[in-house]
Amino acid sequence: MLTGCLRLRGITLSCLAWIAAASTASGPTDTFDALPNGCHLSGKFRQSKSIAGLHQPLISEGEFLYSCNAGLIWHTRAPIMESLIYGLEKPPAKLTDGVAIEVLDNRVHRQLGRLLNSLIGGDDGYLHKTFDARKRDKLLVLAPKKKRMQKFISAIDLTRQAQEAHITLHQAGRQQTAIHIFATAEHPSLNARDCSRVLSDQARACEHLFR
Amino acid sequence: MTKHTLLIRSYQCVVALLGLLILLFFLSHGKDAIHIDSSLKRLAPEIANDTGVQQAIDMASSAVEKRFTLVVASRSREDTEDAAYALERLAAASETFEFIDPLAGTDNYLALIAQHRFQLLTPERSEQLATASDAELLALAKRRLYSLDSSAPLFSLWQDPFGFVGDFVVAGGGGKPLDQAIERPHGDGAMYYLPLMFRLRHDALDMDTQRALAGEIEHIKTTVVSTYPDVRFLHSGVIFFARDAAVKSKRDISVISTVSSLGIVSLLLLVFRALGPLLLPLASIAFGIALAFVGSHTLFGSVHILTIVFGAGLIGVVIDYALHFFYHQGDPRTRSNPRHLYRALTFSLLTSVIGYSALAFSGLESLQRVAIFSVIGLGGAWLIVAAVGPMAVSANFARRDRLLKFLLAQISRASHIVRPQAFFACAILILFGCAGFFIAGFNFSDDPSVFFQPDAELVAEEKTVSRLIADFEPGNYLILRGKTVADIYRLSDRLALDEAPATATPPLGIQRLLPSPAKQRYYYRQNSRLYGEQGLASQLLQTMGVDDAKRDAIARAYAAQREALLPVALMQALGNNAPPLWAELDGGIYSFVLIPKGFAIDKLVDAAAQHEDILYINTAAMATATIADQRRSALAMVLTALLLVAGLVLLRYRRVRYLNLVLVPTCAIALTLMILQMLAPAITLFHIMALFLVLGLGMDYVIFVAEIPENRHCTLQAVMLSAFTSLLSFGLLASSSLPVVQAFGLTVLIGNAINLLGACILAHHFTAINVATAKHKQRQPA
Repeated sequence: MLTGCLRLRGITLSCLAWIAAASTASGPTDTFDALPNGCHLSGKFRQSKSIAGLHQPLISEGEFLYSCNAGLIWHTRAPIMESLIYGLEKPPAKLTDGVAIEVLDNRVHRQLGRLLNSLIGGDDGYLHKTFDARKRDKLLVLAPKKKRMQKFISAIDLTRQAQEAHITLHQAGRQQTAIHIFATAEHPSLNARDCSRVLSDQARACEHLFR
Repeated sequence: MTKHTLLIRSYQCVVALLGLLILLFFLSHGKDAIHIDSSLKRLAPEIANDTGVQQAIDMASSAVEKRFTLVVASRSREDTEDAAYALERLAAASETFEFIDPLAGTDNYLALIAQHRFQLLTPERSEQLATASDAELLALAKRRLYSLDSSAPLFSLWQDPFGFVGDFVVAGGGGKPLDQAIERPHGDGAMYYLPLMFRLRHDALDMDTQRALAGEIEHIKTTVVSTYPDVRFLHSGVIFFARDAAVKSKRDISVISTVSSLGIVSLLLLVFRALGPLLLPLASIAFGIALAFVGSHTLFGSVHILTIVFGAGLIGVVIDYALHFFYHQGDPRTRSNPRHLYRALTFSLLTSVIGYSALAFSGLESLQRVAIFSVIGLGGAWLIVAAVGPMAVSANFARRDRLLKFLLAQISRASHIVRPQAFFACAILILFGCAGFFIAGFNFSDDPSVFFQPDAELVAEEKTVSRLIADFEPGNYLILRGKTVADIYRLSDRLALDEAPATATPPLGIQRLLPSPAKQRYYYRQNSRLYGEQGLASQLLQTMGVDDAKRDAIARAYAAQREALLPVALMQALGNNAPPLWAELDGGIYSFVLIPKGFAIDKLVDAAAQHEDILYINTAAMATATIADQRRSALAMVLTALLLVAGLVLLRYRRVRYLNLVLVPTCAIALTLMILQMLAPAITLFHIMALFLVLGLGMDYVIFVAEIPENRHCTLQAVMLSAFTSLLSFGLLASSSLPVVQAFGLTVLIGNAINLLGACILAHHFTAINVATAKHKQRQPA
């Protein structure tokens, strides 16, 4: 019954990936038409989570890798070590110790994986359908159309400069998650070996994604 | 004033009074306040012997009945999802139904869980609390806080710093996502389905609700299709079947009553060639049916649609009194001494009432209503004939019933061939033949599907939707019965519901949504490691720079909240977002356990067999067994009714030879059963129930034959005309699209034709016997 709540967790990831993908496009994006043509991407991120009542935000950082043939790996390197694997054709999984794959046996995560991959794969129809976009200077604000999404995310702010992008998620309970994406790179193709090279010490996650 | 005249005056007073009451009823109720009940459920027998269990089942059924699903389908995922979203928005304006938003009840549910957060853990987290070190637990909490996966937590950091309560909600949540299309292979490509659940605001079995829903849904679908022309819709839910049945029933009522009325009027016009003689029959029909309607509505608050269908069939029966009265009152011999006629009418009413009353013992509410409707209707028709008859039939109308006379002459000629001995031999042969069929085994069917024949397209849609979204076996579940919450959890533990194989989904009972109170107390104690004074939560928050006051507040909240969460409160908070799993009725608790599709239920069935408070409900099998019981008892009741009527005949005539009267309907019943065996695919409860009417009608005919011996020819003409009217109306019932009504119609059609034949043959024998007796008396010396 609470599948909707849980589904929203993946929205964060979806938007991040979209931004990452969008950042490789040739010019500033103020509409969804500018989704990337690139199929294989990688980059770094810095995440800052602000929780009401905490004086200091929780900061983490890591790398990501996306392949339109296989899916996405979101790898947090510090202060925790964790890889979230959203494959196109397999259930989402988590790798915390670099060895054991924990399948996220939840329908919600599976749906999120599909959602995320269609976003990064340039499925602008989905964004049109899901969000109302409005431009404020250099900021693109996405407001969820559906009530059930609004319950958890009131808005998503996006800005992009050259190879960098900023995304801020305004969540329920006065929580904000700001993510800075940088050092993005487009690859001609990606396979498990390329993935392991880009995400060093994540051979297991790469193998799982590209298997 | 003679005693007879006084009696008629008193009948007239009663008719005037009842007429006034009928008028007042229709004036006070108006068109809108008259409630026609079209619930097919009332046709079905109760499946549980225990009242509490049946109440719990009814309560759960009612909740399920109010739900329905619309599935948007197309070959494009985009179109499917967009059309579903458009449909959802359009449905928001409906006053008949509401969209079940999976998140609508979330706030209440999460608030309740937050309130009892120290009592709720998943078994895995409980195990972790029991075995993991402090460092491991702190590392786990830290990972969760920083992970992207937990960016939208269900509870705040202050409520659930370790995320264990969130895990509890996720583990109990389940359910299929409802805003993503489900993909299924279809031909060369794929088909995308998106189910949307709705809840009716009113009773699903109410015809007005059904009509309003049908109109609104049609409008919404048309609007959606105008934008997304390639989408189609699948329907699933009790209301669609109820609507289908109601429409069919209504069509039946309309066709049967119109054709039946027209047919009878035409028949009477053909015979009498004047409008005058129609007055009494039509008045008896109108008064009888109106009185029955008012009586039923007053007693039950509504009139069942099936009752009205039978009411249309009753026209063929209530007309009998008027026809007999007309035929005999027109005869000078009867006119001079009408007591014979009144005695015959009364005796006929009595036997019909006995026949129809037997329906009341069927155990089916709908048939009980039919019985009461029929008895009141017959009584009303009888009253109007008795009261108004002498005034209405003041002149001897010319009857141009040459056809009837011709038919009667042919039957009489045939009757001459059948000697009394042959008649008895034939009767005995029929009875032995029937007994032989019983020994060989009649082809009885007790399949509950006999109650209605749903539209094939609706059934196909229901199956498709079930394959898409239904996780549980329909009509197969367990009920755990207890006095306390602890009793239910003990039974649940006994069934080891959570010990299903890892590959299979475990059954869904309250145990999957909420730990037992005892377990909650244990979890509370376990949580002291996290939330007690200087617990791990305090340590975790300290590392994040949270001050002492905030950390102490968490420990204080833990100390203050010790109450376990009870199932009734949880189910209330979940509302429409969970199946009805819990019912507390009259001090008893009934908990439902739903069985996943494909789950091996043998163990559960065995457990249910060994414990009286674990009930395995297989609605189809139980309904079949109940119908079989009722069929057997109905057959026994037919025999009892025959014996009762035979007793009544003996009491009235005090001569054994008058038992011949009972032989006619008895043979009609036996022969009807044998013919049905050959004609109908199977004999059902409703064929058996109709035998009561065969008995009632048969007795009706032979009583007039026996009661008015002076003018038997006239009697037979009346019998024949009234038999034709009832054959016409029951013949029309036999063409009904409702299997129940069809079974009744066919049985009475066959049985009554035999009754007519039997009555004619019997009349001939009675005449022969009377003549012989008269000759014998003449030969006696003075």
